[in-house]
Amino acid sequence: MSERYYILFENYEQGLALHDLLDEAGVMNRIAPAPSAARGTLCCGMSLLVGPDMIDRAKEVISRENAVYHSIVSMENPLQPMRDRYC
Amino acid sequence: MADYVKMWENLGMDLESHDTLCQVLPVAVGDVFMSQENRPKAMDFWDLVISEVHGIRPAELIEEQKKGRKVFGTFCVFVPDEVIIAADGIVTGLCGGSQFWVPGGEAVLPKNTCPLIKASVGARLGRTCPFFRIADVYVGETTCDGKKKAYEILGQDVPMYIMDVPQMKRPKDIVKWKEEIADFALKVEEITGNKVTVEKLKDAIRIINEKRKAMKRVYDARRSECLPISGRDALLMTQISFFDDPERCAKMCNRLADELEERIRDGVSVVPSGTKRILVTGTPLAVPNWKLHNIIETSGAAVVCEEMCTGTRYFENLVDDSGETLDELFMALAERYMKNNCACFTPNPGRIQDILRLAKEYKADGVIDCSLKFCGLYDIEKKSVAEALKAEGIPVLSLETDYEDSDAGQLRTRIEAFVEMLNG
Repeated sequence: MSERYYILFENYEQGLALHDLLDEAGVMNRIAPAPSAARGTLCCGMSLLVGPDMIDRAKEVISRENAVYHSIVSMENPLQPMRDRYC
Repeated sequence: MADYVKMWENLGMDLESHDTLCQVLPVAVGDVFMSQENRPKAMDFWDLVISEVHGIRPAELIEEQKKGRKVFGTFCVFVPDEVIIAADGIVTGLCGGSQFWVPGGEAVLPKNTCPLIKASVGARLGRTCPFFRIADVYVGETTCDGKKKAYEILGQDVPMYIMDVPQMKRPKDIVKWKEEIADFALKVEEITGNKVTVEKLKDAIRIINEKRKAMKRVYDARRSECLPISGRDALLMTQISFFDDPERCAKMCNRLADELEERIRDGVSVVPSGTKRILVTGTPLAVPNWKLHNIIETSGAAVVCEEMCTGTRYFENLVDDSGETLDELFMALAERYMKNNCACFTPNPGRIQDILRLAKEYKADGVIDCSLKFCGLYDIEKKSVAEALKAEGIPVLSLETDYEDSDAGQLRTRIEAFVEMLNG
């Protein structure tokens, strides 16, 4: 599946708090830089990357724990290891 | 997040250009790191650091500066962190690994200068990297002609101190390096206002030795036939270790090593059995230069070791902390640092011995010797490296590249052919 979800935050403390909650709940997620196309007015910063099979569970955890976040955005095919576009 | 913008403004950064850089990073990190399956959980720490690369650590450094501490920016593994830490200073690596900064360097340097130097100068003059803005003083060294001349240019914009690295390894050269370290200690005392005492230097030696041991544990795990971590992830760990707090770095590396050792016990590998193992040697890969590793690891092979400054040279060999005088401790530092087999030395048989030793220790099926364009020192050593490897029956591929994306296709073709040859 090529769709991925990015959970965006106002600051990394919020992100780390949700990261821990998702880990505790067994919801697979990874810390990743927020994609520039998705972050809007937010600056460089962390997001949580969640696969399509985990996003509903992630939302459940957010709701249950009243976790603070900025927004959730989905992106089609954001990861292309052979794109060869470096910094 | 708003705090970061304010921080960058206060640092005099060019926010518009910096935003352009920020747009590129997430794509590269996503492609190179997030696309990998089954990464160690402990990589979360480095994922956070790279996600907030111009935020968290710069903010920490500024907070320490408010307390009166000084930040020393360095460009080379020859600068002894121990001396700076003994005077309660902070070390941050400054090498530029991004093409984004190269044009800024080319504005004041010849185009036929290596991209690492051009990017480092461009990062300072373009005002798009907080680390280059925060450092109170830069510490350069004489490991290549390009850097020596670049430091003259940087010295017009920021306080600069140069350490004169000997070019040979005779006993008198090691003594000369000890004297250079002693002079450096005086300068560090002057800048920080703190004395380098025997006790403080011993403590600093222990801190950095612990960091080296922790990094070595991670690397040792890569020797296993069951490869518990990709070369890309190990490289990221090493790159970030240059500007992280050394005690936190040791803690995080040990945490990662714990997980890797558990993975080996459980038979958890990041690559299928039989994947060809590559030792990479050559010029350093400063953050965010991940091109070579990514191409190798998306061409059917795995990088198991880096014989380079952003690799084994950074952590191999500990400093003897048993000395009871500053002179003895400075000598111990000199002896350890002069074991570094940089291509700036003549002759430099130690590097070839290291490559052959590491190829065996890490069970490498082949070696990729890659230098940055216009790095004459490493380019010239390719011939003797290739001859030594050939004599030992170890396949080698010699490459040259820079920070641009434009040669990625060509590199990919050559590396795929090399891996295909290894697969027989």
